Amino acid sequence: MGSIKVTKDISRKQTKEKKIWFIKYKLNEKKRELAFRLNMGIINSALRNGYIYGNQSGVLNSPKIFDRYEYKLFSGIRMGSRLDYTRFLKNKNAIQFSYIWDAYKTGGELDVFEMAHHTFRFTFLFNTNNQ
Amino acid sequence: MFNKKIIQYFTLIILSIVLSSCEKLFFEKDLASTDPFVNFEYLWKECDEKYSFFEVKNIDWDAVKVKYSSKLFKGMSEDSLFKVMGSMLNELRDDHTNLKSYFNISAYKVDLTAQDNFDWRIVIDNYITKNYNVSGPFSHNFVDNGNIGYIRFPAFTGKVDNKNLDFVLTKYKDTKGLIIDLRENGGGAVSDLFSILSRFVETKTLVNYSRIKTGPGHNDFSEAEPVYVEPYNGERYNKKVVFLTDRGTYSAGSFISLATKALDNIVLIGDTTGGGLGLPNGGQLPNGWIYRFSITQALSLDKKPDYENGVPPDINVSFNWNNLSKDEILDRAILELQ
Repeated sequence: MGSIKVTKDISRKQTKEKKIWFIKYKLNEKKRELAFRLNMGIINSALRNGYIYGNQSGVLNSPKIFDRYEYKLFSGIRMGSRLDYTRFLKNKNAIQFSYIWDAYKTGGELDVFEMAHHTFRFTFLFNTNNQ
Repeated sequence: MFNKKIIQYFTLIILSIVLSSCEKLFFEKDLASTDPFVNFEYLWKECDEKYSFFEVKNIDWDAVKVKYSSKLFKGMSEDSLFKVMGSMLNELRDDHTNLKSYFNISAYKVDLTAQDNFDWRIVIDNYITKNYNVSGPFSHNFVDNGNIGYIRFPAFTGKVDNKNLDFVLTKYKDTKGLIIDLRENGGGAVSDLFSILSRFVETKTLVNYSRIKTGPGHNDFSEAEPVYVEPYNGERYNKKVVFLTDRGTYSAGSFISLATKALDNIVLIGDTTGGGLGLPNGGQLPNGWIYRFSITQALSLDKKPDYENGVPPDINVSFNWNNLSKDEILDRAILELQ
């Protein structure tokens, strides 16, 4: 895979006092981060069903789980990205909101297999290094 | 600061939208369509490239296309389209070939192409009496004054287990021979046939070969792979056995009949089986209907696929419906074992 990642620190570094009409409020310091990663399948490989999308191991009296599956190297395309918004808490732990996209397509002219995942993820990140 | 925040959130949303539609750049167009011409072409082509018995059955699939495509017209009803495509598939003369919609299922019905050769009530009334045993999928009793065991096996349900077989074979171990009635057995789980045959062989035996489609040409197949039956390590039966077959003996029923051609101690009596020696596989049409057809070939020991047209019996006998107190096929089997 070829991969690129961009990270942007979007922390609020100073406490700010704001006012909307007659309502006053305070925005405290916050550590936040936005990260974007893009993955491209430079070397793409797939283990996939063969031409007929079936097998005959049952009638051969020797059942096999992946009978007639084929391994293909340099085939098809895979592309994915991940966008993370991380907010750090006072105790140095963090919460992260992510959107992950992963799409792939196998090679060949017959019975091409295509699939895409779109995942929204919420993650608790625990700091284990308190030094 | 406020503006910067808005920009950040907008960036998030826009990136999400852009990425969620990004796969459309390299994914193929969705095939969903109710157009009769699109669906017909899709089904015809799938069969053309993947069906396994064109040459064995001497089918001119291009001529079939010409014949049935002429019946298509824009705006035709679903029922009419189903009849056209179902009839096209029936040209393959193969009950592993079906079209399935929410309102109908097409089938060739090979069992109806020959005379009926089985009546369970006649067997009960005149041979095994109503006191027969039922051991799992096997219904059985002694016939011919206790000299021969009769076992009715109506379907390969996948439920053949060693306890049932041990009981049945122990019960009939002192008989002169066994009759296993496979008439009107439409098939099912092929694992059952190996469980049964393993009780009738004494050594590992090559019974047939199988090959699978590997490309779009009508003759693009894998190498023929051998099929072996190994003896069961326990109760076995080594005397003569007769399998009864008819045109309703199909699929796994034909597979087991084909295997008997390699086993000297088993004789086939009755009518030619219905075939069905290709494993079915299929998919979904652009309009959502489901189809399937044969994609493998079972080959005899001389590596020929001709038994797809039916496995012939060693002794051909037909039922006589003028005498409902006799089963001529069963009588012939008893005679063979006496």
